[in-house]
Amino acid sequence: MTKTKKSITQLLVTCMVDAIRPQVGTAVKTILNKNGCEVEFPKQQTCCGQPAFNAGFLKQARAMARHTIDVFTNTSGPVVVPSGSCTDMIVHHYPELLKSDPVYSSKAKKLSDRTYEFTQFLVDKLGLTNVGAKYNGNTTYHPCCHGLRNLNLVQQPSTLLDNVEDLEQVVLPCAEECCGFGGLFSVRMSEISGAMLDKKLSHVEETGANVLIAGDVGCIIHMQGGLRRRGSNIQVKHIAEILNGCD
Amino acid sequence: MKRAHFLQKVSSAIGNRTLPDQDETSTRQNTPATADLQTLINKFIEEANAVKAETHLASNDEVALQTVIQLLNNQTNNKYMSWDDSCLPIKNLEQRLDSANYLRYQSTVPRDTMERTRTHIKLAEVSVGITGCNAALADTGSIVLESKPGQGRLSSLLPAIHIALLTTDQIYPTMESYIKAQPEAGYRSSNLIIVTGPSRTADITQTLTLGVHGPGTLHIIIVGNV
Amino acid sequence: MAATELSFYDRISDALANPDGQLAIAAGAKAKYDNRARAMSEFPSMEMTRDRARSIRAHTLSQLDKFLAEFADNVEALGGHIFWAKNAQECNQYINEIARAKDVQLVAKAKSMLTEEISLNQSLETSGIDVVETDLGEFIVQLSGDKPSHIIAPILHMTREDVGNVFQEKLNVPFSDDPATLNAIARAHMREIFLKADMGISGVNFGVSESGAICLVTNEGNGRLISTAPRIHVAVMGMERLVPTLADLSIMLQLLARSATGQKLSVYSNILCGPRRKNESDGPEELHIVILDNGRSEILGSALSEILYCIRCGACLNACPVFHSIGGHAYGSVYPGPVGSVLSPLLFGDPWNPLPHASSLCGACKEVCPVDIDLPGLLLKSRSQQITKGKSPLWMQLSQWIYAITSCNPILFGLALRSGQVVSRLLAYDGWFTTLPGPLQGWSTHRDFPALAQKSFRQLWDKPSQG
Repeated sequence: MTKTKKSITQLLVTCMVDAIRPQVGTAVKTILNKNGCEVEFPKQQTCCGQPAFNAGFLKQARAMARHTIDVFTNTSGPVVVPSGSCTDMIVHHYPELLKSDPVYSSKAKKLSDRTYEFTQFLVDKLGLTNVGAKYNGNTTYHPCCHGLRNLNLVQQPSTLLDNVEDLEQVVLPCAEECCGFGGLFSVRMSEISGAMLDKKLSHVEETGANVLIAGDVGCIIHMQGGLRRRGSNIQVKHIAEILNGCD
Repeated sequence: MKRAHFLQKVSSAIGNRTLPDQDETSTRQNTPATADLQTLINKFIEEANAVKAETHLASNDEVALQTVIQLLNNQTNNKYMSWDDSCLPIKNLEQRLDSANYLRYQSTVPRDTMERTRTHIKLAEVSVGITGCNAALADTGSIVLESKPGQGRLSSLLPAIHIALLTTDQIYPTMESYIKAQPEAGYRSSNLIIVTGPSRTADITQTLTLGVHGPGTLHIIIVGNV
Repeated sequence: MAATELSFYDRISDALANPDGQLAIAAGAKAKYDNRARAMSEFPSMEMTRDRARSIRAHTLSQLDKFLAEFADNVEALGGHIFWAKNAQECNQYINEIARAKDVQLVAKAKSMLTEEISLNQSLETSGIDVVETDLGEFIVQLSGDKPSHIIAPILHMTREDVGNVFQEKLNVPFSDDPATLNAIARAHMREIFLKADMGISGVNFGVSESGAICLVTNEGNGRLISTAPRIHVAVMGMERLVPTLADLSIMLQLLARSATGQKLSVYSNILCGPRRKNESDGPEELHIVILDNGRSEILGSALSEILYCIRCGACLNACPVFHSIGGHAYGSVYPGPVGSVLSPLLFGDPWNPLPHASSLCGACKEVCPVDIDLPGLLLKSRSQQITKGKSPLWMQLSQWIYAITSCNPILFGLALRSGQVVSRLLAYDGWFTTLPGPLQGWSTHRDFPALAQKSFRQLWDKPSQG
């Protein structure tokens, strides 16, 4: 194999991964390193601002968008994000949010153009289908809504998972139905969120799988918290953790 | 509100330029649809059957007449209403049905209010309505009827059974191709009705039932050398 | 929290506390969703038709004043009457006046969400006029004194037993829960009403400006009967419901039934062009079309104008997991679901402000919309407009400010993470919180919340050996 120069990538780890599931960030770094990418982590990053944006607090969302843009402006290479919803925020909403800002409008566009969700980056940019992962488990996959519908993440996760050695996969019934997280929706409209969660988890239990895989940590903690409340032993893992072969 | 004031409010609103596709000019283009006659007929039959219309082939007028008489047998009564003979694709229907002891109810509704209601109630006794068609649409199995003079609406609406006589040259591939060929169809009478199967509802627990208010049975007799 | 905001949450609780009702709605909506999916998969030119449909809506609205004028001129040239109604009151007043002037005792009505929006039935009934809903679902709603729970399928929330009970009680017939029997009862009952009614009232699915025609779409045939048998037909049309030409109408019709129920076309696509003409055998002697604004011109000039593209197919309701969970009644509006969550605050005001928040923004609605309305985008705009107007709970405003200040300052952010870790060490059990305080307690009624990781990713990055 010819030695190729390592390309630099920026990791936007997301606040939820940072605070609650750092192992997802570690998995992403490991996988990128294994596949010819040097990973930089600009330490000034905080939160993309999506919770403010979704609640209608545009002033606050713009402030956080500007901060995130500043953090990544003088870095090089693609920005990789282990979250469909945060990627959607940056790629689709940052340019719109800042379109009237004379300084940040073009910066937002530049960041938007170089930001990718993790599985999207592996498959579409690095051309990978098999990351050499091995994971022994009976699993089922829930496609998180923002990544599924706004980034069209269908073929990328399935291709990568199909090539994980020893991985058994069961199709999740009504997989494309929302799990009910929706960020602040889970708190503000908690009864509806709970009803949607119940429905999702019943489908998960139907599969007989012992691991549920998903791509967004927000949805993951919502579903794991619900499974735990039901007394279930099913573990919810981020796709990066599976692709990193941890169990 | 006065028209001018109403429209002024609309104009101002448009002037705010808040529509996402403000200057859209409409990308309606006609897609050409062609097919040979046999394919069209087969497609029409398939689609009409799929929406629970019953189709019958009649190679000529006589066969069509016989089919009508057959369908009229075993009905609740011998009363029917129909389009005028001159509007039907087969000749002498009224005369032939008269000799077979079927009674045609005149379906022209008087303009006087009391007479109008009386006539409607009388016409509700009729068990079969017979009409021609102005066109048919193969891709959806639909028939198209216009309410021109001699072709009242009620014959295809009031009775429980509707028999429609269609000739093969009336079948168009799609609604779009029909409108392109006959753009005046939309305004040359007070009613253009596109009928796609018998009346139905699934309002009660999504269970399909036929024959709610319009005819519950639709027979389409396709006349022509097929 | 305002009293009406509280009542939305009460209605949600009520809906969720009725598992049978919930199941009926979810199953009914899912069936329609699946039927739509099947119909679209069998429709090869679906994407192209959808583009064309959207472009027709966009084109029409961007010159709506011109098309409305053309439409009205053509209706009047045919001998029809046009009335321009600013609001519900003007519309109802006009219709009552015609009814009075023409000695109308009985009205046969086809289903129209617009007439429910303006409470037309109540207005006529107050004048002593009998109004009978002729769409089967709406008839049952009327008999039972209920409200519709879906814009296309009014009794999605009722079981067949429910319907049987209503008929037995109100129509004095033996109990039956067989749909075919129930339909036959309704048909027989309704015949007389159609034929004796003095006036038929309907909505309008689409007006066609080039001819002054109006299109009524039904499966049952009641739309045809009420616009044929009574001597007067009154059609109430939302001002945005126009298309320029008959060819444009055919594009919309390709999508309407497929989106609503999965049918290629509804049974009756009824195009009415003026009242009965000279030498025609039947039809209404008079046709009145009321063009209604009722807040639509404000919407047209606002950032939420895209919602006027809606053709009222109901597909977004059928795709929405929130609608599946709580059903139509919980929204407290004639327009529920995703479209209703945008429209209701705009048409009916502040009490409906919580509706745009009842969405996880999953995007299933946008996926199925036949004119590709960016419903999640409109819900977000709705929310941000509320914030601009200061309509948000105090705890939310406070927490958003704190969150923004913290997230714009990496040192504060790091501090916040470390404080969260301390709290987790002290209060979490086995790595989890089973209760959360204050406004966050909604989370913990249904799920546990994880403790923060003992070392955050950024801490591990600095000192990887501590991972």
